[in-house]
Amino acid sequence: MTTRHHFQEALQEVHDEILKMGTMVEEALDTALRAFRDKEIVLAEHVIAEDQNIDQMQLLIEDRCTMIMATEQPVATDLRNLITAIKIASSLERIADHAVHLSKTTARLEGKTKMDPLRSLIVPMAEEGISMVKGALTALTEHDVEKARTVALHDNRLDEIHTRLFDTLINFQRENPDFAYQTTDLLFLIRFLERMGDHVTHICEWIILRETGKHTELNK
Amino acid sequence: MEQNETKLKIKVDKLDLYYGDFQALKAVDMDIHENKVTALIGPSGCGKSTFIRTLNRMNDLIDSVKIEGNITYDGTDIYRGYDVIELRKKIGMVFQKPNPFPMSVYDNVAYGPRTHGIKNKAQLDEIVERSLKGAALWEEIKDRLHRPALGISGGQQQRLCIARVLAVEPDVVLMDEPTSALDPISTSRIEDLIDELKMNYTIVIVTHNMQQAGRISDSTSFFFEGVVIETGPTEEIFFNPRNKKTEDYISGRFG
Repeated sequence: MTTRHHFQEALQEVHDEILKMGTMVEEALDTALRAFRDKEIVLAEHVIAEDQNIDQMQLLIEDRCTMIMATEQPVATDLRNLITAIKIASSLERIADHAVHLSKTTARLEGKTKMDPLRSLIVPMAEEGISMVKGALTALTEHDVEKARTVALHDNRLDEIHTRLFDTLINFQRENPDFAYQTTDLLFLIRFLERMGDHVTHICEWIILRETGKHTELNK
Repeated sequence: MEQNETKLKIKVDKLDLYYGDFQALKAVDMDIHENKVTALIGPSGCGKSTFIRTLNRMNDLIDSVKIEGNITYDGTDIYRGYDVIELRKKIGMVFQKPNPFPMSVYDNVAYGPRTHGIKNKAQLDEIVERSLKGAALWEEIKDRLHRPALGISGGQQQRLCIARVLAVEPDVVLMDEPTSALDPISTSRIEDLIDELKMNYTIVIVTHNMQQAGRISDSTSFFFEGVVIETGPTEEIFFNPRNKKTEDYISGRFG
């Protein structure tokens, strides 16, 4: 006989909300990238406006987890699920902030066709980062420790692209001092994309903790 | 881990216990370490109370009980190496319901030492004061030592019962659900006391309160149907148990 129906339902709600938040963040990233690549300002503005919903979702998840901890005294897997939900919601919120950064850059670059070649160099980096986010969310849904480890390995690739693009952007800036403002904007952007990989790595580490009870440091 | 750094106080090896034809404990192994709190958890009827009562031979009183296997205390077999009175002086027990004798607070605490031949008033005064202080009851009760013990509160009665155990200078204190009849404040007092007592005593406690086991014990053993399913450092049992049955029990899925 199973017991604690109310508790089970509350845990299920947290699980569903994390997946919903993950989907919202994926959509924000996909839209932000499309806006950046295709110069769709309206789409970029949409991502910026919708970010508050993701922020609300994070608070909702944190509050719900806190209430469950206060009233139900969860232990073992239940406790790990809740701690992981709080940590992952926080990382997802930060990732969504990077979708906003990407969108704001898109808006600021409007009409600056000189930056187009650089823009197309950054798109693959953003794609790589977004694919990491999607991989982590799959690992989360499927309770897949090996997938979490594999996804986190891609962070090294993101770091390599960042280093290469950094040099390219610095050279461009030296040769085009009139575009120093826009190039600096892109330097920040690639830094944010690189940070996105770190947030994904954290999510993967928390997935592993949830499944095994052991802390693992990925990509030391 | 930390467990291995302290001396082994009680070692239980392949303990089987039968009540007539019914086997209540099945091949129980357990290491109980000095100055640690060992919690025994499990659903009703799992054998944990039977087990704790075996540690100071309380089951000897039941005719139909048959015990196989070994229990050593400080390296000596408790059935062959100790007189039962001597063993129970060393290994005291506190029960679920406070059970003070119908006499004064003072006489309750002095009862054990008097039984062991201490008659000197000054010496008894000293033992009563030390024991009541050890049980965190002295300050509350020092002006009412000659009042009836049954007139004090339930939480105070339970601490009096702990003082009564401490008065005979035990080494190990067994507690069988010592706070299940107490309110939350009295429960917290006993839990704080257990934390202090472990500096000088080895404690084994049976509890139905998972949070209590989590709060006060160093090691936890989960009993189910007479078998120890899992033993480990308390924080591991409550954060990452190895056994599914343990997990289901501590998270309230059954029991």
